[in-house]
Amino acid sequence: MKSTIDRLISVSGLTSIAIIVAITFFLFYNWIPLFETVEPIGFFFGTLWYPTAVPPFYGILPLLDATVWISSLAIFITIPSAFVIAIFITYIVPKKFRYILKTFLEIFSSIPSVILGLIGLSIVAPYFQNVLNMDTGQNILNAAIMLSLITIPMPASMMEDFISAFSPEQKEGSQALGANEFETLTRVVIPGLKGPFASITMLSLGRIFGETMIVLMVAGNAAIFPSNIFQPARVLSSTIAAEMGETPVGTPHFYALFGIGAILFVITFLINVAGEMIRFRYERQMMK
Amino acid sequence: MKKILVMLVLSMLALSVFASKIAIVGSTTVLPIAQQWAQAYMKMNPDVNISVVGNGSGNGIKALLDGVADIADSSRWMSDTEIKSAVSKGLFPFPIVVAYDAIAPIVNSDNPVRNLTLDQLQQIYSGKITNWSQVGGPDMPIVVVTRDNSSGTFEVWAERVMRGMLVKPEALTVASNAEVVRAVASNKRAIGYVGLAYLESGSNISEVAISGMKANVEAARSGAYPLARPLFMIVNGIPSNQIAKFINFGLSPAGQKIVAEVGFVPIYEVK
Repeated sequence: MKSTIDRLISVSGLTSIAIIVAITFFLFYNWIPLFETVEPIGFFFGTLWYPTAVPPFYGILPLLDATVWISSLAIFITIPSAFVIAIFITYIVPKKFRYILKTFLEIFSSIPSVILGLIGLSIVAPYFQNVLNMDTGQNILNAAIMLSLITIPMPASMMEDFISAFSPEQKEGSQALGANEFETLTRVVIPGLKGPFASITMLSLGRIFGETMIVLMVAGNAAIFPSNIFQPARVLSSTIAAEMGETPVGTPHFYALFGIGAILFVITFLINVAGEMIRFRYERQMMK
Repeated sequence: MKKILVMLVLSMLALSVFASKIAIVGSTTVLPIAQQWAQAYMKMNPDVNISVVGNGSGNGIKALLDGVADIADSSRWMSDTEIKSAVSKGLFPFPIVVAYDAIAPIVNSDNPVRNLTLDQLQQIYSGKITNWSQVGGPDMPIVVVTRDNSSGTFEVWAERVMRGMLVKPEALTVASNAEVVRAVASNKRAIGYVGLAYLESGSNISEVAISGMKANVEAARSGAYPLARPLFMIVNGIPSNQIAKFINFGLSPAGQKIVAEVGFVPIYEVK
Protein backbone atom coordinates (compact mmCIF):
# COMPACT_ATOMS: atom_id res chain seq x y z
CA MET A 1 0.00 0.00 0.00
CA LYS A 2 2.73 2.37 1.03
CA SER A 3 4.71 1.70 -2.10
CA THR A 4 1.67 2.53 -4.27
CA ILE A 5 1.29 5.89 -2.56
CA ASP A 6 5.02 6.46 -2.84
CA ARG A 7 4.90 5.71 -6.51
CA LEU A 8 1.88 7.97 -7.06
CA ILE A 9 3.62 10.84 -5.29
CA SER A 10 6.84 10.42 -7.20
CA VAL A 11 4.96 10.16 -10.52
CA SER A 12 3.03 13.36 -9.88
CA GLY A 13 6.20 15.10 -8.71
CA LEU A 14 8.10 14.04 -11.80
CA THR A 15 5.16 15.03 -14.02
CA SER A 16 5.08 18.55 -12.65
CA ILE A 17 8.84 18.89 -13.13
CA ALA A 18 8.49 17.56 -16.67
CA ILE A 19 5.72 20.08 -17.39
CA ILE A 20 7.86 22.97 -16.15
CA VAL A 21 10.76 21.81 -18.30
CA ALA A 22 8.39 21.49 -21.27
CA ILE A 23 7.02 25.01 -20.74
CA THR A 24 10.55 26.41 -20.60
CA PHE A 25 11.51 24.55 -23.73
CA PHE A 26 8.32 25.75 -25.47
CA LEU A 27 9.03 29.40 -24.60
CA PHE A 28 12.54 29.29 -26.01
CA TYR A 29 11.54 27.14 -28.97
CA ASN A 30 9.03 29.81 -30.04
CA TRP A 31 11.49 32.62 -29.43
CA ILE A 32 14.48 31.46 -31.50
CA PRO A 33 12.82 31.90 -34.97
CA LEU A 34 12.54 35.63 -34.22
CA PHE A 35 16.24 36.03 -34.90
CA GLU A 36 15.83 34.84 -38.48
CA THR A 37 14.28 38.22 -39.25
CA VAL A 38 15.23 40.49 -36.34
CA GLU A 39 18.73 41.33 -35.13
CA PRO A 40 19.27 40.33 -31.48
CA ILE A 41 20.57 43.85 -30.79
CA GLY A 42 17.35 45.33 -32.17
CA PHE A 43 15.33 43.09 -29.85
CA PHE A 44 17.31 43.48 -26.62
CA PHE A 45 18.43 47.08 -27.02
CA GLY A 46 15.89 48.56 -29.43
CA THR A 47 14.14 51.59 -27.99
CA LEU A 48 10.91 51.36 -30.02
CA TRP A 49 8.13 48.80 -29.66
CA TYR A 50 6.04 49.01 -32.86
CA PRO A 51 5.49 45.36 -33.76
CA THR A 52 2.86 46.02 -36.44
CA ALA A 53 4.31 49.13 -38.07
CA VAL A 54 5.89 49.01 -41.52
CA PRO A 55 8.81 48.46 -40.99
CA PRO A 56 8.25 46.92 -37.55
CA PHE A 57 10.32 47.65 -34.44
CA TYR A 58 10.68 44.97 -31.77
CA GLY A 59 12.76 46.79 -29.13
CA ILE A 60 11.95 45.57 -25.61
CA LEU A 61 14.19 48.03 -23.75
CA PRO A 62 11.32 50.43 -22.87
CA LEU A 63 9.26 47.47 -21.61
CA LEU A 64 12.13 46.27 -19.42
CA ASP A 65 12.71 49.79 -18.13
CA ALA A 66 9.04 50.23 -17.24
CA THR A 67 8.99 46.84 -15.52
CA VAL A 68 11.92 47.94 -13.34
CA TRP A 69 10.21 51.28 -12.52
CA ILE A 70 6.88 49.78 -11.52
CA SER A 71 8.35 46.80 -9.65
CA SER A 72 10.82 48.85 -7.63
CA LEU A 73 8.20 51.44 -6.67
CA ALA A 74 5.77 48.66 -5.73
CA ILE A 75 8.34 46.81 -3.61
CA PHE A 76 9.31 50.15 -2.03
CA ILE A 77 5.71 50.56 -0.86
CA THR A 78 5.08 46.88 -0.10
CA ILE A 79 7.91 45.86 2.22
CA PRO A 80 7.75 48.75 4.76
CA SER A 81 3.94 48.53 4.87
CA ALA A 82 4.07 44.77 5.35
CA PHE A 83 6.61 45.23 8.14
CA VAL A 84 4.46 47.78 9.95
CA ILE A 85 1.44 45.49 9.67
CA ALA A 86 3.45 42.52 10.99
CA ILE A 87 4.66 44.56 14.01
CA PHE A 88 1.13 45.81 14.59
CA ILE A 89 -0.29 42.29 14.62
CA THR A 90 2.44 40.82 16.85
CA TYR A 91 2.81 43.58 19.43
CA ILE A 92 -0.21 45.84 19.47
CA VAL A 93 -3.29 43.82 18.57
CA PRO A 94 -4.74 41.90 21.58
CA LYS A 95 -4.14 38.17 21.30
CA LYS A 96 -7.78 37.23 20.68
CA PHE A 97 -8.04 39.49 17.58
CA ARG A 98 -4.70 38.39 16.19
CA TYR A 99 -6.05 35.23 14.64
CA ILE A 100 -9.03 37.05 13.07
CA LEU A 101 -6.78 39.76 11.64
CA LYS A 102 -4.37 37.24 10.13
CA THR A 103 -7.20 35.30 8.54
CA PHE A 104 -8.58 38.53 7.13
CA LEU A 105 -5.14 39.37 5.73
CA GLU A 106 -4.87 36.00 4.05
CA ILE A 107 -8.33 36.35 2.56
CA PHE A 108 -7.39 39.76 1.20
CA SER A 109 -4.41 38.30 -0.64
CA SER A 110 -6.73 35.98 -2.55
CA ILE A 111 -8.83 38.76 -4.08
CA PRO A 112 -8.61 38.41 -7.87
CA SER A 113 -6.21 41.01 -9.25
CA VAL A 114 -8.77 42.12 -11.84
CA ILE A 115 -10.85 43.57 -8.98
CA LEU A 116 -7.94 45.72 -7.84
CA GLY A 117 -7.36 46.72 -11.44
CA LEU A 118 -10.96 47.84 -11.66
CA ILE A 119 -10.63 49.87 -8.46
CA GLY A 120 -7.46 51.47 -9.81
CA LEU A 121 -9.22 52.29 -13.04
CA SER A 122 -12.54 53.57 -11.72
CA ILE A 123 -11.53 55.21 -8.41
CA VAL A 124 -7.81 55.96 -8.26
CA ALA A 125 -7.29 57.06 -11.88
CA PRO A 126 -10.17 59.62 -11.93
CA TYR A 127 -8.98 60.89 -8.53
CA PHE A 128 -5.46 61.42 -9.88
CA GLN A 129 -6.87 63.23 -12.91
CA ASN A 130 -9.59 65.37 -11.38
CA VAL A 131 -8.31 66.11 -7.89
CA LEU A 132 -4.53 65.94 -8.27
CA ASN A 133 -4.75 67.30 -11.83
CA MET A 134 -2.44 64.74 -13.42
CA ASP A 135 -2.55 64.38 -17.21
CA THR A 136 -3.54 60.77 -16.80
CA GLY A 137 -4.33 58.63 -13.78
CA GLN A 138 -3.27 55.50 -15.64
CA ASN A 139 0.37 55.69 -14.65
CA ILE A 140 3.26 54.09 -12.79
CA LEU A 141 2.15 55.36 -9.38
CA ASN A 142 -1.36 53.96 -9.74
CA ALA A 143 -0.05 50.59 -10.91
CA ALA A 144 2.51 50.43 -8.08
CA ILE A 145 -0.11 51.25 -5.43
CA MET A 146 -2.51 48.61 -6.74
CA LEU A 147 0.29 46.04 -7.03
CA SER A 148 1.34 46.77 -3.44
CA LEU A 149 -2.21 46.36 -2.18
CA ILE A 150 -2.46 42.88 -3.62
CA THR A 151 1.07 41.88 -2.56
CA ILE A 152 1.27 43.25 1.02
CA PRO A 153 -0.76 40.49 2.77
CA MET A 154 1.69 37.75 1.76
CA PRO A 155 4.90 39.32 3.15
CA ALA A 156 3.00 40.77 6.15
CA SER A 157 1.70 37.37 7.15
CA MET A 158 5.11 35.72 6.63
CA MET A 159 6.92 38.42 8.61
CA GLU A 160 4.43 38.04 11.44
CA ASP A 161 5.14 34.30 11.52
CA PHE A 162 8.86 34.94 11.80
CA ILE A 163 8.58 37.68 14.42
CA SER A 164 6.25 35.75 16.72
CA ALA A 165 8.24 32.53 16.31
CA PHE A 166 11.53 34.29 17.04
CA SER A 167 13.64 32.41 19.58
CA PRO A 168 12.07 33.02 23.01
CA GLU A 169 15.45 32.37 24.68
CA GLN A 170 17.03 35.32 22.92
CA LYS A 171 14.04 37.57 23.61
CA GLU A 172 13.99 36.64 27.28
CA GLY A 173 17.75 37.01 27.45
CA SER A 174 17.49 40.49 26.06
CA GLN A 175 14.78 41.43 28.52
CA ALA A 176 16.79 39.92 31.38
CA LEU A 177 19.58 42.32 30.45
CA GLY A 178 17.16 45.22 30.99
CA ALA A 179 16.00 45.95 27.45
CA ASN A 180 12.34 46.88 27.05
CA GLU A 181 10.12 45.34 24.37
CA PHE A 182 10.89 48.02 21.78
CA GLU A 183 14.63 47.72 22.31
CA THR A 184 14.38 43.94 22.07
CA LEU A 185 12.52 44.30 18.76
CA THR A 186 14.95 46.75 17.17
CA ARG A 187 18.21 45.41 18.63
CA VAL A 188 17.59 41.66 18.78
CA VAL A 189 14.62 40.49 16.75
CA ILE A 190 15.01 42.54 13.56
CA PRO A 191 18.77 42.01 13.18
CA GLY A 192 18.16 38.31 13.77
CA LEU A 193 15.55 38.19 11.01
CA LYS A 194 17.55 39.94 8.26
CA GLY A 195 17.83 36.70 6.29
CA PRO A 196 14.16 35.76 6.22
CA PHE A 197 13.14 39.37 5.52
CA ALA A 198 15.46 39.54 2.52
CA SER A 199 14.06 36.28 1.28
CA ILE A 200 10.46 37.53 1.75
CA THR A 201 11.37 40.67 -0.21
CA MET A 202 12.61 38.58 -3.11
CA LEU A 203 9.47 36.43 -3.09
CA SER A 204 7.27 39.55 -3.11
CA LEU A 205 9.31 40.96 -5.97
CA GLY A 206 8.74 37.77 -7.94
CA ARG A 207 5.00 38.10 -7.36
CA ILE A 208 4.98 41.76 -8.45
CA PHE A 209 7.07 41.06 -11.52
CA GLY A 210 4.73 38.52 -12.99
CA GLU A 211 1.45 40.25 -12.12
CA THR A 212 -0.23 41.12 -15.40
CA MET A 213 -3.85 42.10 -15.06
CA ILE A 214 -3.46 45.09 -12.73
CA VAL A 215 -0.64 46.62 -14.75
CA LEU A 216 -2.45 46.02 -18.02
CA MET A 217 -5.49 47.83 -16.66
CA VAL A 218 -3.99 50.79 -14.82
CA ALA A 219 -0.44 51.46 -16.05
CA GLY A 220 -1.49 53.08 -19.35
CA ASN A 221 0.71 50.79 -21.48
CA ALA A 222 2.71 53.50 -23.26
CA ALA A 223 5.99 52.00 -24.46
CA ILE A 224 8.22 54.89 -23.34
CA PHE A 225 11.17 55.37 -21.02
CA PRO A 226 9.37 57.08 -18.12
CA SER A 227 11.07 59.99 -16.41
CA ASN A 228 8.74 60.22 -13.41
CA ILE A 229 6.12 58.13 -11.65
CA PHE A 230 3.20 60.14 -13.05
CA GLN A 231 3.81 58.88 -16.59
CA PRO A 232 2.20 55.84 -18.16
CA ALA A 233 4.38 52.79 -18.80
CA ARG A 234 4.15 49.42 -20.47
CA VAL A 235 5.61 46.35 -18.80
CA LEU A 236 6.69 43.00 -20.25
CA SER A 237 3.83 40.88 -18.95
CA SER A 238 0.96 43.13 -20.03
CA THR A 239 2.42 43.44 -23.54
CA ILE A 240 1.96 39.70 -23.98
CA ALA A 241 -1.57 39.86 -22.57
CA ALA A 242 -2.64 42.78 -24.76
CA GLU A 243 -1.23 41.53 -28.05
CA MET A 244 -1.03 37.74 -28.10
CA GLY A 245 -4.72 37.21 -28.84
CA GLU A 246 -4.70 38.89 -32.22
CA THR A 247 -1.17 38.18 -33.35
CA PRO A 248 -0.97 35.79 -36.32
CA VAL A 249 0.88 32.57 -35.42
CA GLY A 250 4.34 32.25 -36.95
CA THR A 251 5.02 35.95 -37.47
CA PRO A 252 8.05 37.75 -35.99
CA HIS A 253 5.60 39.60 -33.71
CA PHE A 254 4.40 36.23 -32.36
CA TYR A 255 7.97 35.05 -31.77
CA ALA A 256 8.85 38.38 -30.14
CA LEU A 257 5.99 37.95 -27.64
CA PHE A 258 7.34 34.50 -26.78
CA GLY A 259 10.75 36.11 -26.37
CA ILE A 260 9.26 38.50 -23.84
CA GLY A 261 7.73 35.51 -22.07
CA ALA A 262 11.10 33.75 -21.96
CA ILE A 263 12.82 36.84 -20.56
CA LEU A 264 10.09 37.23 -17.94
CA PHE A 265 10.56 33.58 -17.04
CA VAL A 266 14.33 33.94 -16.66
CA ILE A 267 14.04 37.07 -14.50
CA THR A 268 11.36 35.59 -12.23
CA PHE A 269 13.40 32.39 -11.97
CA LEU A 270 16.52 34.33 -10.94
CA ILE A 271 14.59 36.37 -8.35
CA ASN A 272 13.15 33.21 -6.80
CA VAL A 273 16.53 31.46 -6.81
CA ALA A 274 18.05 34.48 -5.06
CA GLY A 275 15.24 34.38 -2.46
CA GLU A 276 15.75 30.65 -1.88
CA MET A 277 19.51 31.05 -1.58
CA ILE A 278 19.16 33.74 1.06
CA ARG A 279 16.72 31.56 2.97
CA PHE A 280 18.99 28.53 2.68
CA ARG A 281 21.98 30.46 4.03
CA TYR A 282 19.90 31.76 6.93
CA GLU A 283 18.65 28.30 7.80
CA ARG A 284 22.19 26.92 7.82
CA GLN A 285 23.25 29.72 10.12
CA MET A 286 20.40 28.85 12.48
CA MET A 287 21.49 25.21 12.55
CA LYS A 288 24.91 26.10 13.88
CA MET B 1 -25.68 -1.97 -23.57
CA LYS B 2 -22.89 -2.90 -25.93
CA LYS B 3 -25.30 -2.82 -28.84
CA ILE B 4 -26.40 0.67 -27.99
CA LEU B 5 -22.81 1.81 -27.77
CA VAL B 6 -21.93 0.28 -31.12
CA MET B 7 -25.01 1.90 -32.64
CA LEU B 8 -24.03 5.24 -31.18
CA VAL B 9 -20.49 5.06 -32.51
CA LEU B 10 -21.73 3.94 -35.90
CA SER B 11 -24.31 6.70 -36.13
CA MET B 12 -21.71 9.27 -35.12
CA LEU B 13 -19.37 7.94 -37.79
CA ALA B 14 -22.18 8.11 -40.32
CA LEU B 15 -22.96 11.67 -39.29
CA SER B 16 -19.35 12.74 -39.62
CA VAL B 17 -19.21 11.21 -43.08
CA PHE B 18 -22.34 12.92 -44.32
CA ALA B 19 -21.94 16.22 -42.47
CA SER B 20 -20.69 19.07 -44.61
CA LYS B 21 -17.70 20.91 -43.30
CA ILE B 22 -16.93 24.56 -43.87
CA ALA B 23 -13.57 25.93 -42.75
CA ILE B 24 -13.43 29.68 -42.22
CA VAL B 25 -10.03 31.25 -41.62
CA GLY B 26 -8.82 34.83 -41.48
CA SER B 27 -9.24 38.32 -40.11
CA THR B 28 -9.73 38.80 -36.39
CA THR B 29 -11.89 41.83 -37.18
CA VAL B 30 -14.36 39.67 -39.09
CA LEU B 31 -14.02 36.86 -36.53
CA PRO B 32 -17.00 37.84 -34.30
CA ILE B 33 -19.27 38.04 -37.36
CA ALA B 34 -18.09 34.67 -38.69
CA GLN B 35 -18.45 33.05 -35.28
CA GLN B 36 -21.98 34.30 -34.67
CA TRP B 37 -23.07 33.42 -38.21
CA ALA B 38 -21.58 29.94 -37.83
CA GLN B 39 -23.34 29.38 -34.52
CA ALA B 40 -26.71 30.53 -35.80
CA TYR B 41 -26.30 28.57 -39.05
CA MET B 42 -25.28 25.34 -37.32
CA LYS B 43 -28.29 25.62 -35.02
CA MET B 44 -30.57 25.68 -38.07
CA ASN B 45 -28.55 23.03 -39.96
CA PRO B 46 -27.22 20.49 -37.47
CA ASP B 47 -25.65 18.44 -40.27
CA VAL B 48 -23.24 21.24 -41.15
CA ASN B 49 -20.01 21.61 -39.25
CA ILE B 50 -18.35 25.03 -39.45
CA SER B 51 -14.95 25.74 -37.97
CA VAL B 52 -13.89 29.37 -37.52
CA VAL B 53 -10.32 30.50 -36.96
CA GLY B 54 -9.16 34.10 -36.53
CA ASN B 55 -5.49 34.50 -37.38
CA GLY B 56 -5.32 37.56 -39.60
CA SER B 57 -6.47 38.44 -43.11
CA GLY B 58 -3.17 37.45 -44.69
CA ASN B 59 -3.25 33.98 -43.16
CA GLY B 60 -6.88 33.55 -44.21
CA ILE B 61 -6.22 34.38 -47.84
CA LYS B 62 -3.14 32.16 -47.82
CA ALA B 63 -5.22 29.28 -46.42
CA LEU B 64 -7.86 29.84 -49.10
CA LEU B 65 -5.30 29.80 -51.89
CA ASP B 66 -3.67 26.69 -50.40
CA GLY B 67 -7.03 24.94 -50.39
CA VAL B 68 -7.03 24.59 -46.58
CA ALA B 69 -9.92 27.01 -46.03
CA ASP B 70 -13.29 27.29 -47.80
CA ILE B 71 -13.83 30.90 -46.80
CA ALA B 72 -11.20 33.54 -46.05
CA ASP B 73 -12.23 36.40 -43.76
CA SER B 74 -10.48 39.59 -44.75
CA SER B 75 -10.60 43.14 -43.44
CA ARG B 76 -8.82 44.40 -46.56
CA TRP B 77 -8.76 43.95 -50.30
CA MET B 78 -6.45 41.27 -51.68
CA SER B 79 -2.89 42.42 -52.27
CA ASP B 80 -1.32 42.24 -55.71
CA THR B 81 0.96 39.36 -54.67
CA GLU B 82 -2.07 37.43 -53.42
CA ILE B 83 -3.94 37.99 -56.68
CA LYS B 84 -0.84 36.93 -58.68
CA SER B 85 -0.53 33.81 -56.56
CA ALA B 86 -4.22 33.00 -57.15
CA VAL B 87 -3.93 33.50 -60.88
CA SER B 88 -0.82 31.35 -61.12
CA LYS B 89 -2.68 28.54 -59.32
CA GLY B 90 -5.59 28.85 -61.73
CA LEU B 91 -7.92 29.98 -58.94
CA PHE B 92 -10.67 32.57 -59.13
CA PRO B 93 -10.99 34.28 -55.75
CA PHE B 94 -14.47 35.71 -55.29
CA PRO B 95 -14.75 38.47 -52.65
CA ILE B 96 -18.09 39.21 -51.01
CA VAL B 97 -18.71 42.29 -48.86
CA VAL B 98 -20.37 41.03 -45.67
CA ALA B 99 -20.38 44.17 -43.51
CA TYR B 100 -18.79 47.59 -43.03
CA ASP B 101 -16.51 48.65 -40.24
CA ALA B 102 -16.59 52.31 -39.20
CA ILE B 103 -14.70 54.00 -36.38
CA ALA B 104 -15.07 57.46 -34.93
CA PRO B 105 -12.78 59.73 -32.89
CA ILE B 106 -14.16 60.68 -29.47
CA VAL B 107 -13.32 63.26 -26.78
CA ASN B 108 -14.57 63.88 -23.26
CA SER B 109 -17.87 65.81 -23.25
CA ASP B 110 -16.26 68.60 -21.21
CA ASN B 111 -13.93 69.28 -24.12
CA PRO B 112 -15.59 71.71 -26.60
CA VAL B 113 -13.67 70.39 -29.65
CA ARG B 114 -16.16 68.63 -31.94
CA ASN B 115 -14.46 68.82 -35.31
CA LEU B 116 -10.96 67.90 -36.56
CA THR B 117 -9.41 67.19 -39.92
CA LEU B 118 -7.65 63.94 -40.76
CA ASP B 119 -4.35 65.85 -40.80
CA GLN B 120 -4.98 67.28 -37.35
CA LEU B 121 -5.79 63.79 -36.05
CA GLN B 122 -2.60 62.48 -37.61
CA GLN B 123 -0.56 65.24 -35.97
CA ILE B 124 -2.22 64.74 -32.58
CA TYR B 125 -1.56 61.01 -32.69
CA SER B 126 2.01 61.35 -33.96
CA GLY B 127 2.82 63.93 -31.29
CA LYS B 128 3.18 67.10 -33.41
CA ILE B 129 0.13 68.70 -31.80
CA THR B 130 0.24 68.31 -28.03
CA ASN B 131 -2.16 70.94 -26.68
CA TRP B 132 -5.89 71.33 -27.27
CA SER B 133 -5.39 75.09 -27.83
CA GLN B 134 -3.60 74.24 -31.09
CA VAL B 135 -6.84 72.87 -32.51
CA GLY B 136 -9.24 75.44 -31.11
CA GLY B 137 -9.81 73.94 -27.68
CA PRO B 138 -8.88 75.06 -24.15
CA ASP B 139 -5.26 75.32 -23.04
CA MET B 140 -4.58 71.82 -21.73
CA PRO B 141 -2.32 68.96 -22.83
CA ILE B 142 -3.75 66.29 -25.12
CA VAL B 143 -3.78 62.77 -23.71
CA VAL B 144 -3.81 60.33 -26.61
CA VAL B 145 -5.60 57.00 -26.14
CA THR B 146 -4.99 54.28 -28.71
CA ARG B 147 -5.69 50.57 -29.17
CA ASP B 148 -3.23 47.71 -28.91
CA ASN B 149 -1.39 47.50 -32.19
CA SER B 150 -2.71 44.12 -33.28
CA SER B 151 -6.40 45.08 -33.16
CA GLY B 152 -8.46 45.57 -36.30
CA THR B 153 -9.61 48.98 -35.09
CA PHE B 154 -6.01 50.12 -34.79
CA GLU B 155 -5.42 48.77 -38.30
CA VAL B 156 -8.01 51.18 -39.76
CA TRP B 157 -6.64 54.06 -37.71
CA ALA B 158 -3.06 53.31 -38.83
CA GLU B 159 -4.12 53.00 -42.46
CA ARG B 160 -6.50 55.96 -42.76
CA VAL B 161 -5.28 58.46 -40.14
CA MET B 162 -1.62 57.75 -39.48
CA ARG B 163 -0.84 57.00 -43.14
CA GLY B 164 2.65 55.67 -42.49
CA MET B 165 3.42 57.75 -39.40
CA LEU B 166 3.87 56.11 -36.00
CA VAL B 167 1.48 56.73 -33.10
CA LYS B 168 3.58 58.50 -30.48
CA PRO B 169 4.91 56.07 -27.89
CA GLU B 170 3.48 58.16 -25.01
CA ALA B 171 -0.06 57.22 -26.08
CA LEU B 172 -2.11 55.30 -23.52
CA THR B 173 -2.76 51.88 -24.99
CA VAL B 174 -5.86 49.92 -24.02
CA ALA B 175 -7.12 46.52 -25.11
CA SER B 176 -10.77 47.09 -26.07
CA ASN B 177 -13.32 49.59 -27.38
CA ALA B 178 -14.98 49.65 -23.97
CA GLU B 179 -11.73 50.62 -22.30
CA VAL B 180 -11.21 53.48 -24.75
CA VAL B 181 -14.66 54.78 -23.83
CA ARG B 182 -13.85 54.48 -20.14
CA ALA B 183 -10.46 56.22 -20.46
CA VAL B 184 -11.90 59.13 -22.46
CA ALA B 185 -15.06 59.47 -20.37
CA SER B 186 -13.01 59.88 -17.19
CA ASN B 187 -10.34 62.25 -18.54
CA LYS B 188 -11.19 65.68 -19.96
CA ARG B 189 -7.80 65.89 -21.74
CA ALA B 190 -8.20 62.61 -23.61
CA ILE B 191 -8.91 61.72 -27.22
CA GLY B 192 -9.61 58.20 -28.48
CA TYR B 193 -11.33 56.27 -31.25
CA VAL B 194 -13.95 53.51 -31.15
CA GLY B 195 -16.11 51.37 -33.39
CA LEU B 196 -19.40 52.98 -34.41
CA ALA B 197 -21.40 50.73 -32.10
CA TYR B 198 -19.59 52.10 -29.05
CA LEU B 199 -20.47 55.76 -29.64
CA GLU B 200 -23.66 55.45 -27.62
CA SER B 201 -22.16 53.33 -24.86
CA GLY B 202 -20.47 56.02 -22.79
CA SER B 203 -22.31 58.79 -21.01
CA ASN B 204 -19.49 61.32 -20.93
CA ILE B 205 -18.03 61.05 -24.44
CA SER B 206 -18.69 63.09 -27.58
CA GLU B 207 -18.02 62.18 -31.17
CA VAL B 208 -15.58 64.33 -33.15
CA ALA B 209 -16.60 64.95 -36.75
CA ILE B 210 -13.93 64.59 -39.42
CA SER B 211 -13.91 67.79 -41.50
CA GLY B 212 -17.56 68.26 -40.57
CA MET B 213 -18.62 64.70 -41.31
CA LYS B 214 -19.97 62.50 -38.54
CA ALA B 215 -19.84 58.74 -38.65
CA ASN B 216 -23.15 57.16 -39.62
CA VAL B 217 -24.23 53.99 -41.32
CA GLU B 218 -25.14 55.61 -44.67
CA ALA B 219 -21.80 57.38 -44.97
CA ALA B 220 -20.02 54.18 -43.94
CA ARG B 221 -21.84 52.19 -46.65
CA SER B 222 -21.31 54.75 -49.39
CA GLY B 223 -17.64 55.17 -48.55
CA ALA B 224 -18.10 58.91 -47.95
CA TYR B 225 -16.99 58.58 -44.33
CA PRO B 226 -13.17 58.39 -44.34
CA LEU B 227 -12.81 55.95 -41.45
CA ALA B 228 -14.97 53.17 -42.87
CA ARG B 229 -14.01 50.06 -44.77
CA PRO B 230 -15.76 47.02 -46.18
CA LEU B 231 -15.17 43.61 -44.62
CA PHE B 232 -14.93 40.62 -46.95
CA MET B 233 -15.43 36.92 -47.06
CA ILE B 234 -13.48 35.53 -49.99
CA VAL B 235 -14.32 32.17 -51.55
CA ASN B 236 -12.83 30.12 -54.38
CA GLY B 237 -14.97 30.77 -57.44
CA ILE B 238 -18.68 31.50 -57.38
CA PRO B 239 -19.93 29.73 -54.24
CA SER B 240 -22.18 26.71 -54.44
CA ASN B 241 -23.87 24.20 -52.13
CA GLN B 242 -23.35 24.70 -48.37
CA ILE B 243 -20.93 27.61 -48.80
CA ALA B 244 -23.44 29.49 -50.94
CA LYS B 245 -26.19 28.74 -48.43
CA PHE B 246 -24.03 29.90 -45.54
CA ILE B 247 -23.05 33.18 -47.25
CA ASN B 248 -26.68 33.67 -48.25
CA PHE B 249 -27.71 33.29 -44.62
CA GLY B 250 -25.11 35.89 -43.66
CA LEU B 251 -26.41 38.36 -46.19
CA SER B 252 -30.05 37.74 -45.22
CA PRO B 253 -31.78 40.07 -42.71
CA ALA B 254 -31.11 37.52 -39.94
CA GLY B 255 -27.38 37.48 -40.70
CA GLN B 256 -27.17 41.24 -41.07
CA LYS B 257 -28.92 41.67 -37.74
CA ILE B 258 -26.07 39.67 -36.22
CA VAL B 259 -23.62 42.05 -37.95
CA ALA B 260 -25.25 44.99 -36.18
CA GLU B 261 -25.30 43.10 -32.88
CA VAL B 262 -21.56 42.47 -32.88
CA GLY B 263 -20.86 46.16 -33.54
CA PHE B 264 -20.48 46.53 -37.31
CA VAL B 265 -22.47 48.30 -40.00
CA PRO B 266 -24.85 45.99 -41.93
CA ILE B 267 -24.74 46.25 -45.72
CA TYR B 268 -28.37 47.35 -45.76
CA GLU B 269 -30.87 48.66 -43.22
CA VAL B 270 -32.21 45.92 -40.94
CA LYS B 271 -35.03 46.38 -38.51
